[in-house]
Amino acid sequence: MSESHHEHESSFWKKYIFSVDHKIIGLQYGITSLIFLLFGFTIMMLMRWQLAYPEQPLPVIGKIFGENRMPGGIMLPEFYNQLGAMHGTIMVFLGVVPLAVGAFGNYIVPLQIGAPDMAFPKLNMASYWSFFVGGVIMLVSFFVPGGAASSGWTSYPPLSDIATVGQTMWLFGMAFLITSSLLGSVNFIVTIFQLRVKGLTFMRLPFFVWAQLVTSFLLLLAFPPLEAASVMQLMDRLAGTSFFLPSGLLISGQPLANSGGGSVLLWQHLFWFLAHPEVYVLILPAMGIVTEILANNTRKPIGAYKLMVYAIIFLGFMSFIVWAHHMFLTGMGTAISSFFQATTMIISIPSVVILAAFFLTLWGGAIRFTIPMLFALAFLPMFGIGGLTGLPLGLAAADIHLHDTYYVIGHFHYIVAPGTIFALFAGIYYWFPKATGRKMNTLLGHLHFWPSFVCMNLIFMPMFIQGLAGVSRRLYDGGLTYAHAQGALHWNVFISMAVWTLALSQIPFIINLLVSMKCGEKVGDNPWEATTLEWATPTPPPHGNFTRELSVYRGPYEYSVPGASRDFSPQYEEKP
Amino acid sequence: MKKFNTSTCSLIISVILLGVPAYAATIKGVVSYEGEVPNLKPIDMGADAICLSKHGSAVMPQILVLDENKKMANVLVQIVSGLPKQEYPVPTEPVVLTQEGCQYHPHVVGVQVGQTVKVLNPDGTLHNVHALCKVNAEFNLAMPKFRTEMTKVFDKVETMFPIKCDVHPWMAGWVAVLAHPYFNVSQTNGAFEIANVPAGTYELEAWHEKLGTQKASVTVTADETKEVNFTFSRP
Amino acid sequence: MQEIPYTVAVRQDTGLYNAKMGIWLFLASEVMLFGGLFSAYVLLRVGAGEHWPLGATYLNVAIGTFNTFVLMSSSITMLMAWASLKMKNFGHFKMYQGITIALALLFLSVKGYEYSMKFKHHHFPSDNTFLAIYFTLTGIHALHIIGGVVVNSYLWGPGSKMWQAEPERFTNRIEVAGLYWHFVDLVWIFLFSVMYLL
Repeated sequence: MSESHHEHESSFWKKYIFSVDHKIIGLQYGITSLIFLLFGFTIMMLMRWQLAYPEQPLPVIGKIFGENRMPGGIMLPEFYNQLGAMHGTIMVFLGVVPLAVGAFGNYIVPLQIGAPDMAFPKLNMASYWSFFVGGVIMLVSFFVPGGAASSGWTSYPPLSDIATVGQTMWLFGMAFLITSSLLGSVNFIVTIFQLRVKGLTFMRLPFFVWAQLVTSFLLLLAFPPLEAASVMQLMDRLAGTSFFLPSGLLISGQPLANSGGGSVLLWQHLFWFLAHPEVYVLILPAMGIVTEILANNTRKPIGAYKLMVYAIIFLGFMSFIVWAHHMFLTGMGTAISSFFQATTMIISIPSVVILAAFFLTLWGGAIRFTIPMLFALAFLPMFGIGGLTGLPLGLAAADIHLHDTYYVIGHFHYIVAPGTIFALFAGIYYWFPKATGRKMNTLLGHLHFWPSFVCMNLIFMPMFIQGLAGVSRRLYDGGLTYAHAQGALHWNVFISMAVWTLALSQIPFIINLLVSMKCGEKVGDNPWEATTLEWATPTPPPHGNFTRELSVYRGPYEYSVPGASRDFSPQYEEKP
Repeated sequence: MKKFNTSTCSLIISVILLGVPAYAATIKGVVSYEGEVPNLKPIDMGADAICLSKHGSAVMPQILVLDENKKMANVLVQIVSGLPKQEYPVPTEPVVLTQEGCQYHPHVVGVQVGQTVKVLNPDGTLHNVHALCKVNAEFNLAMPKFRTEMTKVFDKVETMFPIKCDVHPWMAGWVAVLAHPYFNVSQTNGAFEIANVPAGTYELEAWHEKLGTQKASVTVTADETKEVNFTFSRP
Repeated sequence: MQEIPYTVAVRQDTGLYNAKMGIWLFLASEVMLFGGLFSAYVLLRVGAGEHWPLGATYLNVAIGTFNTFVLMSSSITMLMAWASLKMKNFGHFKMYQGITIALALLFLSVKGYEYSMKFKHHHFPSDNTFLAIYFTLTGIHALHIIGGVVVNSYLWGPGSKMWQAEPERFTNRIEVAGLYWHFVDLVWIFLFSVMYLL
């Protein structure tokens, strides 16, 4: 082992590029996914120009996209569709999930359970590189004839079956991403079960680890059906099968030359069987991060820890039996829709339990308004709004009106953008000192947080208004040609302005991230005076993490223990 | 044009010097319709107010266009066999296909392989150009009102595939991609003319979208004008 | 630097070493993969009603049965290979593992013969949804077999050097490969009954 250690020291490639160290892989995931997040956001800024000023040339940079995408700087509908599909794909599969699971999971989970590394370091590396290849395929697909996939991130057939070659690229890209997440989730589960340090029982696990564990199970079991569906769609596209093509299909009045007999709903079932648990994959790690930060900054034990653990397990289980609430409008019949309506209402209970526990934690706490805490605090109402606006969508009757409108866009973005992404920002500010030994700048943090918080609401709140007015999503002109949309269209300019302001307010974050690495305030091993095990390592943690034998003696959030000399009692401290 | 090399130059020169005198034969004729004229229903363009506003009177579908003497327009006549095997120069003039009044003008169009097709949209409404080719690469491109012009090139021989607009389902045009320049589409008076044909014996084919194809044989000598007429009727 | 624990030894509270837990989780996801495909089969078949052809109209049940026995035998020899290592008999391991690989290759050849006969009779996946799901399911299964052959061949050849240095770890590897192999065998039994017999 000492030999391989030496090897790691000697070679730059082995140390930073093809590393098997969970922390390096975590950082690789983090950097890659932050770049993808920025890319996905840039795509959205282009789309917002088209929505605010349909059919007007985009100034300055419009011409660089070429005649096939933006002739004269005016966006073509085909290109808008590509951007829409790829915004969703990139944000979900290449941005948020890799950052929440790949980056934070990889970096923090082994540290928090006192493990020297992940259980399978080589698989971990394979997982990252598989993700990377999948991402590259997705990016390259913009440059094939016909452009990238344009059938939405949901890739509904029959449209996707007959779409241009970009859709094939999308399917291949997804195959790599699914492989990556499969390798990752097996690794996480085994690591958490097998590599917990002595004394770290399940009820002493930090909630973040619980969140990652449940998330990994969701990824492990929900992704394979999408893989099956992707293979079938590939067969439809490449081998001429008809898995998703019903008999008698006409395209532009011409009968399609295929055997027929397939079912378009089959795709929807398989897709949403993944994609609904995927929603919880997006939110659970965020809840985990918020838990750590809330406990640390209120200097209080988390409210109802055990109840939260039971709630998150229940949540994970229930997320497998709610998928068809995305399909109320497919004519599934009242019996089945009642079932999914009921499960959907039930699944909101554990979410409310967790949210209530968060608020209970705040009650009577000595709150430190640090930058991570600000983001974590903002998460609570944002997630609350996102969750509550989801209820009408879960009721079949209300969903008939709201389905596929901007209301849906507003709803899930409230959960993912000011919800999950804020939690991820919180995590970056919180664990940055562990990875670098330096704190991020507070002033720049404020300059990042406040405008972001305001803009997020200015962007997504008006979408509820537009959606209630009946403006459909995925319209390349924002609803210009629909009479009923006219009353809500003036919001488009307003929303777009807020989007561009939001982009400007990310600049302090980018500066902060880059500059603080070299010039940030130097801090010790446990700058936040936290209780969990990751703060017991040297900073930054070396390969192998811990320099001394550890045991765990207490629960994860023993803050302000009566009679203790300090207001925090780390897990690794023996009880007197 | 930069790619002009000596061989193409000499080809064109030889065509001009040697070819033209011998190519002077002309095949012309008239396409007529026989039998009862079907009672076609006018197109309901009510779905798009812009389309509606382009027309003062009822718009008849283009599937059978006859003049008062029952002469047929939109019949593509081409030489299908008998031509020497050779490459024909690609005309530099583009073929223009206009979407006007939410209809394709011309309704039937022939182009040579490699010839530019210019698609125009002066309508001020959204059209999409969906070429349902089988041999060439299928494409489906939107032409919002700001996109008034678009060009496409077909690089393989393919006779008769439809071009459709999915926004206005009544819109349909037909395209033939041919390897040679010896074709013509009949005018509203039914007349067609294939000029500069080299002397020889050929098989002609006349195609109509609903009434099928007809064949005729013709032999022309240099500087001759031969008349070949076609008559279609409902089966 | 600390070693990663439980790579060979069994952890008390879970009763597993890391790789064994990993393979069980992997197999759980495989169940979901084939579960997705089989449920697609069910949905397509229910949708087709009476038009669904009986498997035997396209497929040769005798060949399928033969292949089932080939694969089941390979599962048994795989088990024997692991048992040989447990009994510290490396020579027997080499023999049984070799037979396992040979049987897997035989299975693939028979499968390839079946495919080529289909193509010869112009039966393609695009003909109807029965053939589509047949080719997709058996194709993905064949990919799993190929993966297994690659891993088993590695463990039979260059990978078996580990027996000298870390016999226990090597035995574990064979056990894990065996678990995978039994799963692939099990999938085939489902596949055979669903596609050929029903």
